[in-house]
Amino acid sequence: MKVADIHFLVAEDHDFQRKMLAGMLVRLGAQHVIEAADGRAAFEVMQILTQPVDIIICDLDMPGMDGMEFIRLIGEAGVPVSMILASSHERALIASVGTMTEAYGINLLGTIEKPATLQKLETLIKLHQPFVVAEPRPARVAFSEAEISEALAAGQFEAFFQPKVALATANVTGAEALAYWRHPRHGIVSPYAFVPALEASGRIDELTWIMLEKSAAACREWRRDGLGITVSVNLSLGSLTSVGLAERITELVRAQRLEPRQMILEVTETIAMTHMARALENLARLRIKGFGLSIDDYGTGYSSMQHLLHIPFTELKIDQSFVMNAIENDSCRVFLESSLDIAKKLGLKAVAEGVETRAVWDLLRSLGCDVAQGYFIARPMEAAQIPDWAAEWTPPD
Amino acid sequence: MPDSPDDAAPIDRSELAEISGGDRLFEHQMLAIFRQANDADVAALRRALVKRDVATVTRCSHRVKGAGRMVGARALADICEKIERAGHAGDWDAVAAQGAALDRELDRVYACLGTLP
Repeated sequence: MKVADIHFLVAEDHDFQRKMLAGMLVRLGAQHVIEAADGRAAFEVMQILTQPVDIIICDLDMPGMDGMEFIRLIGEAGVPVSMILASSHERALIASVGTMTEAYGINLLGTIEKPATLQKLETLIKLHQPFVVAEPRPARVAFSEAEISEALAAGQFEAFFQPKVALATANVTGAEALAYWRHPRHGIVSPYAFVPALEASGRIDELTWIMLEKSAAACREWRRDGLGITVSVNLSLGSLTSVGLAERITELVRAQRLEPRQMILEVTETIAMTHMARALENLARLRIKGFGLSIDDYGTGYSSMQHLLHIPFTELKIDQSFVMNAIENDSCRVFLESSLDIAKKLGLKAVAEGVETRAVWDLLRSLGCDVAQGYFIARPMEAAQIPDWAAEWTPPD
Repeated sequence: MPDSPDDAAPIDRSELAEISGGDRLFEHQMLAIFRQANDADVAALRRALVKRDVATVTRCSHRVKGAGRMVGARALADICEKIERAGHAGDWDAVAAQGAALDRELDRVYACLGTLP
């Protein structure tokens, strides 16, 4: 989109800074710049404009209505707009309001620690994409009980596997099983779309057992091909609290002539805390049998050091939201670093999920993280593809 | 001329150029408007200093800091940041301790504004 066609709104209380920002925009070729001295004035002017605003450059600290309240109003009104936050407050504070802006569904182009420069503004403005009038979104597919029963019976759920790689050596260490539904009408449906439906219908544990079976079989095939890696499987709440879980999984693994240590069971913090006593019993038994135990999505639940100490985990999987944003967002990076530190002190293997770029890979290496998983390494693939992929995988130089 | 950091140019032209993209006319306009807006903020800041009004001191020093950064008046912005922080912490002694430095730096900035083309 050409700068001349973009409609800007500058919300800034300081006359000089507001005029300067407006002047800089004009120098960058802007022809439509509106100024407002606080959030209220900005919001009011937006109501009466005939042309919608495309990009708002917003200060945070303004007398009257401040930037945060203004952002909330826009967010709640669902105004499609891009936002640049500019402030001379601390970076962590600006980043936090940035996170808040995105949480409201506003397209955050970026944040500027003042002073704003022509170059910084230009870079962020270039990120603006005109809003496409959204197609009416297909109604969220609601899967019926009958459909779910049929899918379970007909074997429509499949296991895909995403490789995990040691950062220090670039050796493939394992793969996580992810469930996909090969739906007769909708095609491949990702777990985000159907797991809630399975949970709601009380059938999620059946899927867990299907995944355990398929994963054990896959791991055995890999080993037959000479690829000695582990397989990770997610446990659901029901399975984790069912009596006899450890024995049943052990049997299933033995039936494939695998050792328990070749399988890692992943449990989210929330699940582990829900029925603490039952879960602890099962987890202790699984650990005694030799299974690896991983705490999944670390950072998204309510885990505390105390919980980590209670449960005999062997691996800590840091949630992808912290990993993906570790480069731009200081708070995410701090969380990542402290998670790695906790893992090291508790003797847990640290796994970073959501590794999608070279920059994140390099950062994790420099921080001493053990294992990485994500699109930068490989997408989830069918079990049979894993050995070929592993043979061809070459680490970034 | 002694070569101490205190004698660094009160307005860093290279920083100003980064903000203006090197457009001298734009810089000239910027500085003119800066002078105007800053006068009001500085006057309010000085009044608040006399009245020992911490809230106003904090707000005004934040404004002078922001504007100062924008024209490359780095030392002025740094002094204002110290005042702002001290104000946030409610440490009046630390606020007052910057008074002399603020006056000195403002003199330097205004003298410099007078000589800039």
